[in-house]
Amino acid sequence: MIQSFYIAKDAEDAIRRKRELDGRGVFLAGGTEINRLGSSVDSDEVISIRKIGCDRIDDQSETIRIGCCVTFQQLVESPLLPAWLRDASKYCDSRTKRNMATIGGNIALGRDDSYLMPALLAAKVRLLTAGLTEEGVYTEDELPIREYHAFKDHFAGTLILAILIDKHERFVMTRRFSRTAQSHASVTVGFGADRDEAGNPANVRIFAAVKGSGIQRYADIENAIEGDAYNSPEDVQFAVSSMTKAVDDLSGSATYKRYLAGVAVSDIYRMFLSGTGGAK
Amino acid sequence: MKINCVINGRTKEFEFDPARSLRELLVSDGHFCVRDSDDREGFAGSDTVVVDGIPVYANLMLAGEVDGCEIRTPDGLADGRRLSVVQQAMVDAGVVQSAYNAPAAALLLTWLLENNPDPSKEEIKDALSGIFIRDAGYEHYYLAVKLAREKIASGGYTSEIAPEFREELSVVGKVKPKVDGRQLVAGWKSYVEDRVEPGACALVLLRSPHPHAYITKIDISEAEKMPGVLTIITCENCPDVFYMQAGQGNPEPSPHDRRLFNRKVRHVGDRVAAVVAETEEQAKAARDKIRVEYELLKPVFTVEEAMASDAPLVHNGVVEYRAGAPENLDEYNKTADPRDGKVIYQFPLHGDIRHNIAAAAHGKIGDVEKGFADADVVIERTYQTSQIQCTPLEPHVCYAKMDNDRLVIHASTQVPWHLRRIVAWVCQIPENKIHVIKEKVGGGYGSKQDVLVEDLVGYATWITGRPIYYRNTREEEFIANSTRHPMRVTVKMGGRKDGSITAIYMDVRANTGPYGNHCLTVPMNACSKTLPLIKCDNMKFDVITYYTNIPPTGAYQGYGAPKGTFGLMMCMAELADKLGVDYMDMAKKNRVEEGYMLEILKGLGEGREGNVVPVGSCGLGEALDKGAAMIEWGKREVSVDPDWKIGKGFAMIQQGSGLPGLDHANCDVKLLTDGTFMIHSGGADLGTGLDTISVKMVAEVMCVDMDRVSILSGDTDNCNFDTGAYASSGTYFSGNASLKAALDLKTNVLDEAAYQLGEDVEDLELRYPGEVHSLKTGNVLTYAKLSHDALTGTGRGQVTGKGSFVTNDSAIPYGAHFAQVAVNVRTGEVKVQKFYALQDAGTPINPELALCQMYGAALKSIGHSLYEGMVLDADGTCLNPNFTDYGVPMISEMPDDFKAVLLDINDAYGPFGAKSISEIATNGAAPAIGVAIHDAVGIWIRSWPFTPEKILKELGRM
Ligand SMILES: Cc1cc2nc3c(=O)[nH]c(=O)nc-3n(C[C@H](O)[C@H](O)[C@H](O)COP(=O)(O)OP(=O)(O)OC[C@H]3O[C@@H](n4cnc5c(N)ncnc54)[C@H](O)[C@@H]3O)c2cc1C
Ligand code: FES
Repeated sequence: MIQSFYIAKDAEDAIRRKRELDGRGVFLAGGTEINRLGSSVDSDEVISIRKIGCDRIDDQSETIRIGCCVTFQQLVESPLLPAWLRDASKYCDSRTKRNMATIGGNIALGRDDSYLMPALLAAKVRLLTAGLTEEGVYTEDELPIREYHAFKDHFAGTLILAILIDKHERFVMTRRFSRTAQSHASVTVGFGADRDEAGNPANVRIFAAVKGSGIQRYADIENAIEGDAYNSPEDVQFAVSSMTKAVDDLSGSATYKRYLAGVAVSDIYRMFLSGTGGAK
Repeated sequence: MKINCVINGRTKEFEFDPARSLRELLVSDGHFCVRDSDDREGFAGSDTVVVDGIPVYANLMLAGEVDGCEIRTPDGLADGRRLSVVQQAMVDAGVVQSAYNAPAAALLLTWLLENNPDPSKEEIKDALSGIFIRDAGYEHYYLAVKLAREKIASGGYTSEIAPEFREELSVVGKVKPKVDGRQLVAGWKSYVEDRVEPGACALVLLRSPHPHAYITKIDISEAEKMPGVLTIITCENCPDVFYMQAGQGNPEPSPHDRRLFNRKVRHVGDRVAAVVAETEEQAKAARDKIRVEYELLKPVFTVEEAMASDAPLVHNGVVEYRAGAPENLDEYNKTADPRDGKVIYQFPLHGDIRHNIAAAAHGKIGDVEKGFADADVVIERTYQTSQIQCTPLEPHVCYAKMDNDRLVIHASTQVPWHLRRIVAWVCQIPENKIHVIKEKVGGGYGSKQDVLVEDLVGYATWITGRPIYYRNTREEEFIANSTRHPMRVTVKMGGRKDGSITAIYMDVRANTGPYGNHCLTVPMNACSKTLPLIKCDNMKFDVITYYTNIPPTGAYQGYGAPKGTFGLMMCMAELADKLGVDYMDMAKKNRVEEGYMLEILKGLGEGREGNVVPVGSCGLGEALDKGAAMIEWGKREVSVDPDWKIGKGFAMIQQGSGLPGLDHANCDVKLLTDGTFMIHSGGADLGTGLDTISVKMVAEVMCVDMDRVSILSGDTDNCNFDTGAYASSGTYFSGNASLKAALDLKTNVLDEAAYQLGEDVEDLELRYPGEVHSLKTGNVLTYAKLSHDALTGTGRGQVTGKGSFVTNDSAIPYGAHFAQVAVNVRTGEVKVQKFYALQDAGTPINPELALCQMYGAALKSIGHSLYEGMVLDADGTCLNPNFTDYGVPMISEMPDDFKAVLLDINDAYGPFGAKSISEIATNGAAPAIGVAIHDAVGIWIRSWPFTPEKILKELGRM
């Protein structure tokens, strides 16, 4: 039950307020998680960040900068953004919810059925964050999204200010499997890769959000693909399936989820190999 | 905090807690049509508003966030009493049915057209993607947008809204706005929740966490001392009255097997205690103080578990019969446990509670064994259906209060008169002490045929004398409400190489859950609405219904027919496949046709001998022919993507139109002093357009425009008895009662006119726009003058008409539903590419509403075929009691090409030739899609829902 509401004037005001509240405060962006029934967020005190000026998408020569409060619908509509991000944003099938839900909120949550995280992780986007040092000095920091995700607890007081997407050519694709468009996904995968000068896969990133088992990275398979250890998408399918951690739940059996993760990644890999789809 | 904002163009200033939701702010300001149908789940969109030009969910936004914002709510769209173009277009397109979300949808479409005057289908779909529409499906929303655009562009509509029928009639069979469409789409006061007065007390329920247990101790002493508490009702102090909650004809074909509160809880969510307090917060706080001790019992959840020889008994109380008790009853009751209460049968239903059997029925014609012996191929297959929730947007809700010494119940119900009877019985008071007012029903689909909350709220109000409001949470809707009975349907079918069916045996095992609501009739319906589709001399059925500890079951649109049709049609397709015969040829060869005597019905009455009748008007052949042509039956479709395989399927379907010999409807019509009319109909319109039908009956007969006829319906003080809106009875029974009342009025008007004009009745006729005309003298007497003179000091009194309708004649609607699906062999995904619903509804009295009923019902049944299903854990707790997890279909799940087609058939018995329309439309999807999946990838999926995972397993992929 929300007890108090504060509108932050800027990023610094937001994080100072949060520190004042001794960790009890939460940033309120779109509110689609915080305010929903059964929310995963414990929120006595909310600090609205809608007015801190982070609601734009900017083209900054080498990168595209997406403000944390940019909504899913803005992502869908922006001509600046790569297709994979627009596709992933549409996984949130309700237009009305897309009008509210923000990219920052989605990253901060990192749910096991996350709409965007597998794609953002596969794309190797970077985050611009704001925080306070022990001494209370305001700082901004840039870090890979993978790091934010892997050490989430460490970033508890941190505000995601923006998402930075490198504009260089990179293949990224994502797929989501759910019973209806608005049911929780059993599996959402993201696959990203560059091509080196010889045209071989490089900087491969494979992630899957698996309901009940969190967001998983397949580092060994990434390396194997880069090292040419896998000859075919079928090899990748088998490897992903066997490495996927999964449990039986409402969204499907563990076997089904493992199977889907394998099929989806191998299908995307096949497209990567054949040079179709996914490139921005 | 001070919050300044502009709401619907008016500047407002509030002193309001910024941490409360925007919806609470808006409701406090009178915008009550910003509703919540899912307890802030953020799914259904009943709370849609537009903030600074962008649609959002008001429940997911905090009040403090709108300081300085401009807000639009659905109730701001109409200009006073004048509907906006979009609202009117929605009414005209027929999408305003139970309409709980219609105001929000109107707001979304208005926003869409303001920002994009020429939206594509995809853009309309996108705009509506965040709103759940269960009643009308979404298809005619596209039409509504088209109509609105035409009106904006040229001041009128150019598109056809729906086909019209019966040229000789002026309003029947014609597209005319639904009479209550305006209030529903505009968001004016309509529903029970809109009638709640300030100061109403709250009732909350303590529910069982266990599926099966005796309450050994219940301590309410601390709870009673809590502030604001008025009363707490438990098994210790509730009336010792056994009843059941299904709103069925009296005596009911369901056992009286419960009290308001029982000593034994029989499902997770069963009632343990009700707390009535001044406020909801106080009631909840007191609920937390109730201490209950249970003796846990082993539960049973499936038919198989209930059948086991050592199965725990869900009901092991004393069995009584109001009629027809067996001779060995005393012996039978020797092992009864008094803590289990009683099971009282009104008449024998062949139940045996000591084996968990709530009811059973058996019947046959011919000799099935001989039929199987004559067959070239005999197959036996078992089909399993799952527990499906009706999910009306408006949950079960009740507001009751005292008026002097009478109990007034504002109800969202399909059965006002059964409700009054049941509440009177529970309270042990006579019916004259109760006034039931049926409000607009924000979605029923069968679940509001059952008296699930009014029994308790009525009793609590009666004993406290205080006004009480109660509303199920969405979770309670799932766990303590009527659902589709899960069924195991085994079909054995024999056929010859020429495609003829030689014998059919259906073995239906149904799971009624903790109580026996509809325990005989729903499962019997699985046979009675399917076997009569087939011309076969040898048919046999066994129906057995078991008590278990799953959440309660009851009526859901289609009743038992969707389950039976799934079994029967799938089995026929499987048999055709085995015989190497085309399934369509087999269907055509074996289907019934007009005049065929339905001998099988003899054993399929509702607890009595059934009526054997010949097939009357029947559009089955036409439905098959037209549907086959539309879907290009026999033509193989190939996808460009080799992973996607395409297949086609169909199913023959039928239903009934009410229960001939059981149902009864009444209607009165009055001629008012200015020559207009007032109908009092017992019929309970639950959004489907029944009131519009009654108005059309009177307007048609009396030759007046519809706006000269008003209606009050479903009000037990002011209207006469009607069994209620269930079993597809509305049009046929209540509609026929209205027609009879109109015809009676006509006779009486002509009689009065003859008296006043001094002419012979035979020389007089009624004429538009509302007058009596003499064919002999040319004299004209307006209804206004006639009525005025009849009511002067020397007049003969008010001219009225009265209609009471009962019948033994059946008006059976028929149809065929066709599906084309694409199945991904790598992922198991299924896409419904085409769905064509062809139905013979007799004369569709409201064609546009009829089409929307068909779309809504078909989409619901696509839902239960592919996505929906309650999931229980090992302890009987429902794991998915919300929309997201349960998986209702939204606009994204619509078939790419969705068509509802009304066949032009005139019925001999229906009012102006009409039959029922909507229930039947839930019967076809499961077998049509199941057969299409087989056609696509060669596997038979025999259990609901047809999930990708099941498909992959059948394909041997995992
Ligand atoms: C019916 C329903 C179904 C849903 N299904 C899914 C689903 O399948 N997958 C999915 O991913 N999500 C789902 N969601 C949740 C939600 O809509 C999205 O995850 C959304 O992106 C959250 O963003 P928000 O702006 O609304 O977050 P908020 O609710 O405002 O905040 C969510 C969390 O993120 C934190 N936060 C927000 N912005 C920042 C920031 N800039 N820096 C640091 N922390 C921040 C908040 O403090 C809070 O802890 C669902 C929501 C609903 C109502
Ligand atoms: S939160 Fe939207 S209807 Fe409940």
